[in-house]
Amino acid sequence: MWSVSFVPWWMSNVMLGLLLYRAVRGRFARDYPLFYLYVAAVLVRELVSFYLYFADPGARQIFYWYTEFVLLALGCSIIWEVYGKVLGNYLGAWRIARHLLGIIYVLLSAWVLAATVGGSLSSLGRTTVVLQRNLRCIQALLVLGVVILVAYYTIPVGRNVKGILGGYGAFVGTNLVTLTLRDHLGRQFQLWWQLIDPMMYNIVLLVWCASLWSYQPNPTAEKAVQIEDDYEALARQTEKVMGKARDYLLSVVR
Amino acid sequence: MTTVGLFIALGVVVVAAVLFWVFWTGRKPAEPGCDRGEAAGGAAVVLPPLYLIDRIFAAEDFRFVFTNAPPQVQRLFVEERKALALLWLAETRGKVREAFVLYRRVARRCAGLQFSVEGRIALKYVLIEALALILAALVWLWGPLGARRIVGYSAALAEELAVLAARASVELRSCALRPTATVATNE
Repeated sequence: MWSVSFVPWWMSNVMLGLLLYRAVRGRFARDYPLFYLYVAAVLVRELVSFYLYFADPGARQIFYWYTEFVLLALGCSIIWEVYGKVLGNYLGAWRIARHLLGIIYVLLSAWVLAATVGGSLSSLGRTTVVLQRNLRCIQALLVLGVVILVAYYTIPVGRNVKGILGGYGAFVGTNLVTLTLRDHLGRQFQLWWQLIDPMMYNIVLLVWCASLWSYQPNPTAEKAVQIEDDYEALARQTEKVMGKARDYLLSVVR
Repeated sequence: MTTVGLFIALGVVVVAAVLFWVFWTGRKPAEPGCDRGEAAGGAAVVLPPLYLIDRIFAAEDFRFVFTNAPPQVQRLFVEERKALALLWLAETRGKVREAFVLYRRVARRCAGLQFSVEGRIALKYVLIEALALILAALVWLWGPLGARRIVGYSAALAEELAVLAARASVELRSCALRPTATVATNE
């Protein structure tokens, strides 16, 4: 019970508890409901899992993998919540996000279709590791989408949301890499997997504790303006400037 | 193996993108949005004048200096012209970037963004940056005149290859259409 290998595990549980405590104490859990639902679900899963480790190790294995997929689904809801918090007041950027999500959906459908035609549909979920990896891939694309949009339009983001997105994004990316390697290399990567994932998770929890220590919402959104005519005129003007610049650059070499 | 590489690359890209965004926005505060006045004023971003290109990259000046001036002056002339060319490129890139940044600041406040317009402008910006960087590299390596010559030579070579490829495809098509003589004789 007091083995050294339990130390990172206990650290993560303490930080999960701390996150929930600060949110309840500061009364801002309702501002990020899906995120705190995820945190609570992880904590409950870990504690039940710990109990089953001693009471019924066989049941623990099954319980762990079933709840892992529930948590993956809740992880997607965190990304959805971030999309809403960040882009909710920028309707134009939200429209662009829908297009990007549409492209991701088409790519994923093409992937599944290719696997079906190639007769390897079953390989998409042949093991739980592969299924987890594929779901993490979807999450990674969603995280990349929101980061690109926020960076492109320089949308101001508060410390809380930045911490949630930064931490979860880093976790998703790292987990995708480790799951891929675990599937590809097999048992020889098992030890590294059991080392890297908990370490990364604790780093993410530290980031979340720091950024969610107190409530700091996103900066007040600028009022959406109906400047459709100005937008079209500016788009034309910008394209004109770029076209001119391109012609200048090409004239150097003609 | 390709799939494994793709998944790992995606994971690395996501981590890098997230970390870059967090640290970059940490250093730079978010720019405020634009109002109509700023948008109108900013729409008048002006590129450096066209005649500068003719002056900086003019072959006549090089011919004159290399014909009449001693080697030290030739070297100094090439260095000065290279610096001017790179400055002009930096100025042009700066102006394009200014227009692009202003455009994004206005666009984010607009409810009616169009994906096709946004995509087109983003792609044009990326192409201009790539073109400017390639030109800057060529100018830095071979000077303004050398850069012009190299690009001119590459363009001529590409044209020759295109002509050869066209001729080859015509030949192949005519071979495919011609009936084989041996088959006719045997029958």
